[in-house]
Amino acid sequence: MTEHVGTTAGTTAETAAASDHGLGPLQRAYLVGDQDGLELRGPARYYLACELPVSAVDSLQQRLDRLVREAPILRTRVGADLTRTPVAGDPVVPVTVLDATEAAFDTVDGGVRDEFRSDTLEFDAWPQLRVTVVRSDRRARIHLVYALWLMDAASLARFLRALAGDTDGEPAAPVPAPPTGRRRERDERYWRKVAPTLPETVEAPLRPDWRHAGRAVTHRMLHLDRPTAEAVTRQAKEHGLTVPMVLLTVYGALLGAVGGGRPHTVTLVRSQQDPDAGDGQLGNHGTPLPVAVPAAEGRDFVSLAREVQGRVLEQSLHSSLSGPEIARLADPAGDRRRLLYPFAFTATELDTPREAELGLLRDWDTLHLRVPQVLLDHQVGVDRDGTIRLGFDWRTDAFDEGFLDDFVEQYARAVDRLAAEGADWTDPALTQAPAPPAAEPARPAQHRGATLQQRVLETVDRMPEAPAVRDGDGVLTYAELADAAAEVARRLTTAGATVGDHVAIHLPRGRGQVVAILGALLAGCVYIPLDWSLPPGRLDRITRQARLRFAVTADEGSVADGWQQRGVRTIAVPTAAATAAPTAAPAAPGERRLPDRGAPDVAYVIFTSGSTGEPKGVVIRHHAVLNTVDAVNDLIKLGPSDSVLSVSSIGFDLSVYDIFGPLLVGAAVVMLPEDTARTPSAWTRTVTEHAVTVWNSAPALAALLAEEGGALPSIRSYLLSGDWIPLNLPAGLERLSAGAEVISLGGATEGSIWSIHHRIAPADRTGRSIPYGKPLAGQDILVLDARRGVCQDWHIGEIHIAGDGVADGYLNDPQRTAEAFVDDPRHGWIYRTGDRGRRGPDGVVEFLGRADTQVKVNGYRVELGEIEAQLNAMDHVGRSAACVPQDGGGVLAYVTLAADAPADWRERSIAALRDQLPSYMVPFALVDLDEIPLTANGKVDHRRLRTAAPPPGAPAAAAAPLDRGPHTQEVAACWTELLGRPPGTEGFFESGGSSLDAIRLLSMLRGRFGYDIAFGRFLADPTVTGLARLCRTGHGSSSEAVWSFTPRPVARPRGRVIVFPPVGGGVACYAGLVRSLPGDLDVHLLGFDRPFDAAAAPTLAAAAELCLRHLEARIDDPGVPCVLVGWSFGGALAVEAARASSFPVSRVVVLDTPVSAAARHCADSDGAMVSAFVEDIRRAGGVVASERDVDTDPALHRRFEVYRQNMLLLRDWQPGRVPAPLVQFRAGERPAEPDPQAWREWAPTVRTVALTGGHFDVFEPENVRRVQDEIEGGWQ
Amino acid sequence: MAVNEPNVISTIIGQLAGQGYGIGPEEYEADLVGAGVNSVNLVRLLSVLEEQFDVEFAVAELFREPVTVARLAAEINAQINAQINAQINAQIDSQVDAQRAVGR
Repeated sequence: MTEHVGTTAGTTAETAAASDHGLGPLQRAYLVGDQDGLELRGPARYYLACELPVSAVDSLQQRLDRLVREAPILRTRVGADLTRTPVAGDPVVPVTVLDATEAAFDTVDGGVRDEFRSDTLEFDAWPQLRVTVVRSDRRARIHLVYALWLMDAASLARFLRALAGDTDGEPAAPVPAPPTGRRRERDERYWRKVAPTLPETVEAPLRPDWRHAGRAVTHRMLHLDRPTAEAVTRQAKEHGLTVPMVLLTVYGALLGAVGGGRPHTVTLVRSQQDPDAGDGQLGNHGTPLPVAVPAAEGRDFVSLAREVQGRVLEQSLHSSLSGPEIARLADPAGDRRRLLYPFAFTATELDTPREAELGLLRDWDTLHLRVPQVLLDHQVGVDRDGTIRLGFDWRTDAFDEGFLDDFVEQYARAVDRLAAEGADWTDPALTQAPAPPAAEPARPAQHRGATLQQRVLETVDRMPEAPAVRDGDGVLTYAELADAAAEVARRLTTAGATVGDHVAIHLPRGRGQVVAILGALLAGCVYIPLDWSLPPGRLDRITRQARLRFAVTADEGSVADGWQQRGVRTIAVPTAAATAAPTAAPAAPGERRLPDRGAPDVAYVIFTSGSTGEPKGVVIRHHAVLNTVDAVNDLIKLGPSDSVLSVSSIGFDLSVYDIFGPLLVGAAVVMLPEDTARTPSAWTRTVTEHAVTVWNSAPALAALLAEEGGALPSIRSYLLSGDWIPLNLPAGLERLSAGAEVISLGGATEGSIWSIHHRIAPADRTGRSIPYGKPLAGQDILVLDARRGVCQDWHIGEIHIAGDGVADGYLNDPQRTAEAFVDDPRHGWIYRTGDRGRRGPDGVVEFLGRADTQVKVNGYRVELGEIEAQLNAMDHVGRSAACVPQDGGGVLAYVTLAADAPADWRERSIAALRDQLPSYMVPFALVDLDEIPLTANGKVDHRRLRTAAPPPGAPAAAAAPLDRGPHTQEVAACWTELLGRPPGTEGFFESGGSSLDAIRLLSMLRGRFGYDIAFGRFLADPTVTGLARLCRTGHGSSSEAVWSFTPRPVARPRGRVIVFPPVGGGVACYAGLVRSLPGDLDVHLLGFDRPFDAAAAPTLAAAAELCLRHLEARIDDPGVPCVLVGWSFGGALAVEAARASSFPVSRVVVLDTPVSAAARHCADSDGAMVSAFVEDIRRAGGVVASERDVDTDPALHRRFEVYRQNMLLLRDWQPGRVPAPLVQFRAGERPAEPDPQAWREWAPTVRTVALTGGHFDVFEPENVRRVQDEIEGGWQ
Repeated sequence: MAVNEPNVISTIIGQLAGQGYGIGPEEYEADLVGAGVNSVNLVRLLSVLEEQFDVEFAVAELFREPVTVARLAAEINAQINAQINAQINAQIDSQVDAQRAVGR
């Protein structure tokens, strides 16, 4: 893109005005969609092959000339800055004719096809149309490829007919008149109202890197034969529907089902050209409009299609605004690089009979449609021959493999159902896809015992002297455990507990908990484990709900008193067991048995957060929990030599496995002390001390363990559950414990701890998320739609748990039990998890988050509604909304206050919450708002909530006056020139700039000042300060220390150039060099925006390694040979990177880089460093700043910190041998490395090339040419 | 703004005729989509009617039920009547206010 923009204000403004007029909304979308940095960017191209009569070939050029003469669009050139200029003179689009023998025809033809389907049109070249004909004696085929902004479907049809000699002579219809101001005003009013209510795009199975999917597209075409098309057309008419709207409804409803039955929005490309008004002017007159597709669930096809049709008509009536403008109304602060509605729909009319008369026969199978910023493009072509063509073109690499093939099949079946004889379009059942064949039934579990306590006693009998519990006090053997538990049971029965009574276990962590739980069970009671730190208010509520009469608790005055005040009798654990091992002789096995008092079916009740403000007690039977514990023990082959660390509080059901998993098989449970239970260093110590083999926790705790580092070789299994597993966590755990297996477990307390498992494989780490997996033995995981039918593969539904693990329900709460548990005739007693998921064709279930407001905080299950209910109950609170910000930190709550709220409302509220809620549920901050923003359907609008008020600690950026730095001034000058007024703090688009203006602005900055700024990066912060920053760094803002920038994507690079930053961390100095490199080299510029965390890169070698790691995540063809380049400090980085690189390095090019220790020496004092820095940025980047500016300007200061860090890294660098040939450029005057031989020590071959000028003249044009030659030499 | 029903109907029929659809009085109750009017022409028709009568259709609502010439006419008339009533009420209000002012 070397296009220069007018250099005076007058001409630029004029060009802008002239060029905007006449580019339609779709044309603009296509052109803008090819800009760097946009998601799913790429050219908009159409390729078609078509048979035509041999006799027509000779006059083709003449006919095409005439078309070019008559159609201004075909003579238009669009520059890199999107200015439109007519091509001067009598331009010719050449028709290439390739003559082939009959035998060679297909080969030649295929060659043209392949060439045309690859990228052959330069963005700003003319013509954007290529025509080649392959001809033999008997047949001829014309191949066309063109930029889509040239022609829409109707134009293409006219173009083809004209080429075939159809001289119908119909006058060209006028281009639709631009909308009147009044119409536009009205449409704006309409969209302002409608746009914010548009639902989001459908959640499809997209690959994790879909936003940057390659350009490959897959094309499928369904052809509805005449009987089918006629049946659909007839019924459509009867119900007052048009055929395209019927098919849009099929498309929308099917996509909706994929997304779990939610309403969603698709992009309708509406043609402005009237197909009935004869042939119009060639061009692309389309307008993209968002269309909301309502939820299909439970509705019949006619009512759904009527609603869709009504919306399309209504929106078409307001189409003077198009997609991007509407998106801006919907979310003024939205990220403009983001795709909003990438599922597209177009309806066109075809007239193949007329084309056939002219000898034209399109090849529908090889056509190739590429549209930027679209994931799936669906076209409905209603043909005058009575058939219907349904085209599907999708970004191949964006979707899970197989998904869209399935989708097209399902679409075809849906159309067949509509066309079937006697199909009743008003029958809701018609919109239901038939249920897929039932999944394999749950694997039957082997029941190996009736109750937990019986199974533990079996272990006791088998191995009485084996260690059962380990903690800081030593070992408790199975015999000792059983004796102590029997004592607890005796005390309970003495106190009056009878079979089936509820017994609270409220003890600090340690062996006492295990003894108490087993004791309660031996007494024939149901145990209710409670976290030691639960606040009194919550204990009160649990006491009431569970009708508690007994608690095994610590013999501490205040706690025991509290229970007694609740009317609960307290029982202490025998001190001998609670402290050290008893000295008494062990009892004979027979004595340990209590008289069999029988046992209830229920084993325990665990309380979880409830959305209405009351905790819910989940009732779990023995056989249910035994099923899970046995299944997981089998899964990890837990045996007597294992030790399981009990990390979780007993208030959570992971503790049930921690205790009974080992006790069922003769392994040991390792208990942590209460005071260090949340201390990672204590975990590491305990794991080592007790040779723990199994770790079981929420991912967040395991991540803390991984961060703690070190080696924990004894651990062989990590069980992770309760929350999303970060993709990099498994690798982190394997670093701790080589060879350990990492297993993801999932489910709910209501499904007896876990119901689903997945052994994490290396391949999972690059997927969308860690798969949820497959059911555990004896259980089943069902993905069901709203009518509890089993969802098709890929379709999102709600995850239900079925089988042996399902809880009885919630204790003393039939209403909430009925809401969450169902006795379904098909699936039995099932639990609705409220989790969304989908099942793939391999039977593996994927977890997709919550269907409600339940969230996880560090793995703890939290109903936001419970927090809100507590807040709402306070006198001074009107409404409230709680959320969990993505950056962690826990719960944040927003409230509206009553008029008479006390000044210390915040303190009061928090204190009250602390009394009622576990600590992880207490908000870390309360923010007061005038009102809680709501969505159109009355729910809390979390998107607006996030922007409503800044959370405390993140004060809104004060409107700072513009800094007057050089970049700001340059940007402001161009900005003013384009928009006619100087910029303030507002965004470019708010100031009235269009995306075309934006591209023009970047083009000006590139042309005048050499700043190469990607469009997408600009959109991230389209303000004058944002742009100035981009100019300063050549890069957008980022929180990463290391960033990289790829100036141009290259499909199949010949080689790769990796450029490392000089000591200042920025890359502006390389702009000229990068521009001079040929287009088939893949260039990656690395930069540093801020200093590294001290621990991350203590040495220059470590910094180089960070750079490599950053690139490895971004480069998917690592086999391409690389040349590593760097100026000054960057050269040292390049050398270190070459030593550690996993990419093949064919050459290292260092530009005036010091290597001897003397040359790398620098003054360590801040003062000297600052003045050196000021000098450096002046000479390297032309930025004039004073030493004081470095202190006061945050951006400059950060850059200085990078500079200082890099100077010190360079000073302390210990060079090693480079495994690749090295080219050393030396400045002619005062080179950075005075010793010309110094580099010889470090590389197998060193070539030295001299540059003219000094260290800061390295990038003078004549020097750049030399450097460029040496870089290119890297592949010869 | 003197609009009566036949005037509205004849405008609708005239527009449709211009698009090549001949609709006779016996078809005033017939569904326009069923009669073959495609969506482009429907949009154009509605757009012209909005401009001409200075009304605004809630199209999505309108199309929940079959759209006929008679329904379109009724909808336009209802909107016009509502506008007229609003104007009359405003006039009455201002007169009442004026009288009150005089009364004081």
